Amino acid sequence: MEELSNTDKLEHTEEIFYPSFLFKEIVVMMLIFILVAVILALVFPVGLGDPADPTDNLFVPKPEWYFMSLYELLKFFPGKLEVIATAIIPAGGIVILFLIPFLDKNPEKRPLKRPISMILMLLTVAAIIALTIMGLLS
Amino acid sequence: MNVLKHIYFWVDERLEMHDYIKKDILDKPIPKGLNLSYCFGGITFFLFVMLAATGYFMTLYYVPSPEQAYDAVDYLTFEIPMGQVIRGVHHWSGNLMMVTIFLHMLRVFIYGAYKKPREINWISGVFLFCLVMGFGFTGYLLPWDQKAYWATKVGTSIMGTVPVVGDYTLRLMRGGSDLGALTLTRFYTLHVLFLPLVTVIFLLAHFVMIRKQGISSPL
Repeated sequence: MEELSNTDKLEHTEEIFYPSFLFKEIVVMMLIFILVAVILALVFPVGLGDPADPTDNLFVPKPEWYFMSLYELLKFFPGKLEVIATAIIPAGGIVILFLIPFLDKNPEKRPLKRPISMILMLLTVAAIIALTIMGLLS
Repeated sequence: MNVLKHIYFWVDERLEMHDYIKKDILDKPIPKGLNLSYCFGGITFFLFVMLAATGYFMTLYYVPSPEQAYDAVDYLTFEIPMGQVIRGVHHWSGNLMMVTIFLHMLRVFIYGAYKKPREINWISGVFLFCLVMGFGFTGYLLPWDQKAYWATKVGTSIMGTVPVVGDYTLRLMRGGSDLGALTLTRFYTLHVLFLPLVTVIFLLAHFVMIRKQGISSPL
């Protein structure tokens, strides 16, 4: 018996990877390339600050924006509570991320049928964005 | 074009790869009607390729020593033809990657794509997320300018305040109690050797699992 090709076995909800999705992906990648290489790199060229001076204690450092939320968190936990912001929340956050598939074993995928997951996600995202903006403005 | 086809079939006659490429990659069934949010993972991978390409070029000039790092970056940015563009693409790709990996994770979460049977792939993705943060942290020090030095000083000091493991972590990161030559060598080696190698391994696993399990169908 001749083996069926993938195309013959497709269900009505399926299509094949090439060309439809691969094409879409390549177009998006080209747009990203133009965005990064042409627009961002040319319009906002990278610079270089003054050389590092370990004796200069007046320099006020600020972390990159993607670490800003963690940095901003420190302000909420002064003194002895510092460990909450330096270790418990970041390490706990990563552990929870790893464990998400095991904490949530409900097979339901539709977001509207998973209100608790969605609310927790929105709160987390809102907190990260709010902390980042607060850090950037301060 | 004909020449290319000819070479392709000449190679295929010997290696017999065409059936695999056609069946397992090009003709692989995927769910219909995937929207643009399904591209965030692919974009993140594409940015990784751009980061690798520009990064390789920068290693041709970069010197990981406190005496020379700043001048090397200054030279490769402002003296080398296209230097500023190459470093610019590296800088912006890195920043954009933080956004796209975050959006990719959100998409996977919202669509419940991490659920059985894709738990292992979710875990490999969280590893990749940690690796990306590691790239951001180690790469930031390399220009050895004021911002780089002091941000890393503060970042590693904060790690040092963690009870029990803090002091050890700080020494491990800095290569001693002070931020100096050893720190720069460590961050550089992590940034260009250790992290890329581990990332490529996790990426391969990530992709093989997607191929094996298929894309989680939309809702």
